[in-house]
Amino acid sequence: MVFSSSVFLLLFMPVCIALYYLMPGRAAKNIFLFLASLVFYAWGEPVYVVLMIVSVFANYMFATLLGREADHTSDRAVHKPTKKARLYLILDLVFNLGVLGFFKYEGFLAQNLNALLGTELIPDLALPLPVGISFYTLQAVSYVIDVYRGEVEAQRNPLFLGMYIACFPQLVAGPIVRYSTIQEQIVNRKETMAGFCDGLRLFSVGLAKKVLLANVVAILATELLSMQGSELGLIGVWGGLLAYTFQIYFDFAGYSDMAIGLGRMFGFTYLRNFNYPYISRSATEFWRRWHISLGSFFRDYVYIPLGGNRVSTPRWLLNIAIVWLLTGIWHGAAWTFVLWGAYYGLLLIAEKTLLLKLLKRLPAFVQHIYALLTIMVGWLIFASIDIGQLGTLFAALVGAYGLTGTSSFAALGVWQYLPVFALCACASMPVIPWIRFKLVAWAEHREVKGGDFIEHDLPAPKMLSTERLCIFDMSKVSDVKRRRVLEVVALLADICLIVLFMCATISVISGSFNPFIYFRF
Amino acid sequence: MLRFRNALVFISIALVLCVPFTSTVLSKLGVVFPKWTGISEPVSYLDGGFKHGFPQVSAQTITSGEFQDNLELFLADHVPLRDNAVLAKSMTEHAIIGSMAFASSYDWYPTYFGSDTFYSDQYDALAPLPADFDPQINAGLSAFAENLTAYAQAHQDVNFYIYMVDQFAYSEANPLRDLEDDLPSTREFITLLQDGTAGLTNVHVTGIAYTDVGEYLQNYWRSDHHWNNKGALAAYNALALLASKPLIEDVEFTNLEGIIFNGSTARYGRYPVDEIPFDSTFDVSNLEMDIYGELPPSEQAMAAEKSPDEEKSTITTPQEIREAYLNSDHDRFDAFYENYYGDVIDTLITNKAAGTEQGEALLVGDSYASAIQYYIAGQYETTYVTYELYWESTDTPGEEPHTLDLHNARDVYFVANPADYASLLDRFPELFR
Repeated sequence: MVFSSSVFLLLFMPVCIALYYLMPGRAAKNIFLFLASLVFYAWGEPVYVVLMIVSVFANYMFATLLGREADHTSDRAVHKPTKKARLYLILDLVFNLGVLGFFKYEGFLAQNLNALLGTELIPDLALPLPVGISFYTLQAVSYVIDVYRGEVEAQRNPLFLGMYIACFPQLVAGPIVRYSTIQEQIVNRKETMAGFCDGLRLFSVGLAKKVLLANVVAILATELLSMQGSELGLIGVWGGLLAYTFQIYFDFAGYSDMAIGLGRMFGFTYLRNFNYPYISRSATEFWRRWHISLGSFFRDYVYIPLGGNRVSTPRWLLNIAIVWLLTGIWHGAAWTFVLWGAYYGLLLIAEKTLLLKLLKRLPAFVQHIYALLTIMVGWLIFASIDIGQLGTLFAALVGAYGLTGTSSFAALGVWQYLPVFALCACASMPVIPWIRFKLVAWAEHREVKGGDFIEHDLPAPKMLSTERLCIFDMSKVSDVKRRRVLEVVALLADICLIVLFMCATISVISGSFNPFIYFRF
Repeated sequence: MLRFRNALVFISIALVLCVPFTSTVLSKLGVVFPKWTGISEPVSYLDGGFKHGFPQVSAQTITSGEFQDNLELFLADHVPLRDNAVLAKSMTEHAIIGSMAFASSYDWYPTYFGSDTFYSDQYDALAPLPADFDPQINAGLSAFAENLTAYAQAHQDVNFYIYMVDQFAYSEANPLRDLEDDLPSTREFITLLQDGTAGLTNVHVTGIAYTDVGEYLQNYWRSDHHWNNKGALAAYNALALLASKPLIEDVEFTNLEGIIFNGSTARYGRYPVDEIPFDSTFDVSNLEMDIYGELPPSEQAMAAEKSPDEEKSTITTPQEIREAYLNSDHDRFDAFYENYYGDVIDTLITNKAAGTEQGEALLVGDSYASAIQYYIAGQYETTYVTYELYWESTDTPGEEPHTLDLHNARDVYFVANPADYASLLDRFPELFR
């Protein structure tokens, strides 16, 4: 089941929320959420739900065994895992990565190995990928490693752990929620009307991003990027690539917003997963703003354990390369994803060693253009069907097939989407938070300096909290008249959100094109 | 104020989320909602069919995902004001694309993002994207020509008149042909059939292949894939020339006031152009129809009243079919063409004004035949109309395969679009046995 479906919006979500709030006590609410999550998962994966349950109980078992071995202390320097603990961790990793590897990479491995050896050494089982396996596996792994490290206590209730791993808001496409983030919330969260409504607001924003923006540009992206470069020419390939650039952002960020919003409705507070990545000035900054939960997972569970940057330069570069190859292959079992990971690995190494210093000397807009171009080239690799098509798309990208290739300008259809592109460009930038920041500053009679907004409000990369999203903070406004103005603006903003939600729902029921890129990861 | 805003957000979104399911349940429990809400309506005019029913629940349908898919359709169909909302969405997208089309000086532009239907402000008309080359169409037409040739050789005393309808998707008048290369055309299909039946004196292949979009839209509905009365009459006259039958030229065309019509292209393109349909003054008062098949919905009640004991055969007239439609309730998206002309399956039309010397005819057609049948029937004493060419018609498994029943007809007319000709022998392999 996906959030942008009639079944979810018109049946599952209202029924689930109503029943959740009818449940007496925290334990009943948690267990209900676990069961509802299994129903949510089973809706699209009636068979693979068994795999999910097995995963929950296997991780529960290993974490419990690890918990018995661990001595819990907040001081990691003091924490010394035992040999048994190490064994349990290895077994758990073998289980999790084995399951993920089997379902996600068996076919890829079989095809390539068989082709290399020229014999049918491994049968290609052509297994359908269990939805969300890449996300919930990483979530489970992070939990068990945190228990091993003594950073969190093992969850004693398997159903509560099940709720954490399988919790439907973030089950299908993340964000990858660390156990440490919600450990306390599992038993001590408090649902409030204000929090619930903030969740609804965030959900509406996410649904609008997904349905009203991503799905629309997806029509163009899907059509154009399924063609060869020779058919597209310069305009076709850039049009398709721009559409894909917006599609993947609004698709994924919209889904994350919906997940975080749903979490808020159930009393959870997750961290941000996207922070206006397209305003970045470098690829390095982009990856601090894009899919933050994945980046921090690889940082904390791969990069830092490998030594991070506190090693020799060659080893540091190797660490970066390893992380990015893993990031690439995590996204999918295809050479284009490996290439995409390698591309970012090399780009980030180049930036860290040389480019960033040069970039900082250039005007800001040049840095933005550099970042956007490198990001878009990355998406071209990501979106390509295979290496062969990628070659023709690259050729078209630099004008090898003329302006429109073998198509006409009218037939390419890029012209139809120009207003949508403009809308997407605005929505990719923190325009609304900026207006809100300015308004609040005006109401507080506070003078705003150029850097204040970036430092203190939403786009600051370090601010991962989702609590202030969609909220007008009027707590410091003492001027009654100006406060009234803010309240009216906030009311109008809410009315706009309601209208957006209705428009998005209409789009869902109309059966419009509704792909979801990250569904296959 | 924050509390008020929270309450507003909560209540509004809760209403959007809960009303569809609640209203559907209440409707199933017998609560009747106003017609404009669409809740109690069993059909979606915009989709041109019945709303999806509640899906069958079983282990098999759940594990296969069929239940989930159908529940999605069921829920989406039963949202109050669903058709209006869907239309509003596509009209909004149309306006956005229209603004860019205006800036780019494109006359034809999609009705919504991703739509295969294009609209023209100049003609206030809709056009589908041209159909791509499909080798199956050519193979099917060749098979039809081959089988017809053998059949015609075995029936030298019968004349066969084949009319190839110039459907917009294949028409050279389609303005969207500029967007693609190497597209098939009606003219090519006519030539293919003419070549396939060359040398036979009793087989005559024809068709009007339009090249000008303005002329095309004079003869075909602006919102539907069917021809209008002018187009059907032009087709009749083309056939009449070959069959040495009188041309019909002294008719006028009058608007059917009070009716707004948006056909299949408008439904599919989610864009209404609100045509006012018209009919010719051709005299059908002498025609009587004995219908063995399915009546158009608007006439079913009347037929049941008229001949309650007869399960199949129903005597009616073209005028009764038309009046039944004109006197019924209309939606701007309902199936005017089907209901007004009578989309029947097997019909015997008797011309009371004709003598026995005028003989019998057989008309084998698809839905295009329903608008031309009265012109043909006016030239014979009896005309059998059968719908083997209609794309939904097919042999029933386990039953005797369908064969062409000539009755006593000496003139046999085939009227259909290219795809229906091409698929005919797949659906009725024994038709020309």
